[in-house]
Amino acid sequence: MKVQSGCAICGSTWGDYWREIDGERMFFCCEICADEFENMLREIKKRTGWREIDEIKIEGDYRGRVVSAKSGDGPSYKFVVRFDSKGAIQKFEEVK
Amino acid sequence: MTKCSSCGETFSREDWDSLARHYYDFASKSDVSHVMWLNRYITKEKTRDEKELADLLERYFKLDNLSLGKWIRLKFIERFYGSRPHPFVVALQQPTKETLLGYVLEHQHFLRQWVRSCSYIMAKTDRVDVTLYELDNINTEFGGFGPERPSHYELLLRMGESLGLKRGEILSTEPLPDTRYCLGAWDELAAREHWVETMAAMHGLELIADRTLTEDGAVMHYFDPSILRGDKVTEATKNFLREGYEADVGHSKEALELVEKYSSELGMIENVQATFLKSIDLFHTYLLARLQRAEMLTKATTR
Repeated sequence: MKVQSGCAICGSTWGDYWREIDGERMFFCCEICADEFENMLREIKKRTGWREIDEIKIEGDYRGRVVSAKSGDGPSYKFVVRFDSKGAIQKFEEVK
Repeated sequence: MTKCSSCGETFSREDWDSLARHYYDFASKSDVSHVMWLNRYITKEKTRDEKELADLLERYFKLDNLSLGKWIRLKFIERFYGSRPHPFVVALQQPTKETLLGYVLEHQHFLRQWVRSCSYIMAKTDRVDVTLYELDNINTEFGGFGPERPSHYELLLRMGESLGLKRGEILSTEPLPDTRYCLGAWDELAAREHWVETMAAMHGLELIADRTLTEDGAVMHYFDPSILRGDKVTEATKNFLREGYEADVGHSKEALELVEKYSSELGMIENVQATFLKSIDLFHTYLLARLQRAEMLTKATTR
């Protein structure tokens, strides 16, 4: 899966937390970011019916992130996501 | 003392090297609160070494020519009113009924904790001006001054009633988990920390409705003041918002003057800075909980 460099959620290069997600060993700055990423992927799959996600692009910060996801050659799936203090999804809104 | 804003560990005054070593150690273990603090306040780029981080920390905390009160104002603006204002503040500019109800349902719990936090300050201080300030603040926020001047808490409940909720429904609604978490953390903070730090931690938050923040770079007010004139919101909502709009300038200003006076007299400016930053982190989470409540209400009505 193609993601930004550094932590897959926030881009930070602090920390040294690794988690296997969808068969890939991925870097995160902390456990909460890893939880956020996993919860986000689960929600994308639930809403799109995709089995695999190939690319995630993220803009924004902890106040709210605009995410663009891709699977294969199909169109991007764009949404706004925000998480609570434990990494659970607080807001998930599709961008048309 | 220099103090870690995440866990409260203290170091000698202006010992940025030790503070940097401390953050570096915790970050290398991916400790959530230390990593997040570095990401949000200092940098998301891991520094070459501890020395480089120490320099960044020193630059961040050094007051240079600023007063402590001004430093607090500027950090507050950066966090809530900078180029990316807090989402709750954005939602409050032209609030929906659900946004206001989210405010009511969570903030009633905040105000109850507010009294406890201010009471800790009074219990710990031996300064008369501080006690008098807190008494006045508690009455304005919670006790009221008779039927002519109801408290902020009473005005909040009236706003909720004007938007269709019964008082009993409001009072029996439990806080959302993030609100509960923040209130617990503020309670612990007030119980544990020095009263000057608690003053900065709590009254610094009153800057949220301080309409003079735009003079120091805030990109917007807490809400669009034009809603106080039109008929987009209920009269009870106007009364509630107006009260904060008028009271909080004085509240935060006076409190920050006391914080400046006593933190310098007692040699604890850096402690105050660290504890204030911890408190605004909690406040960020708490404001999101208000928004979460609003979004839950919106979902329930559109279902």
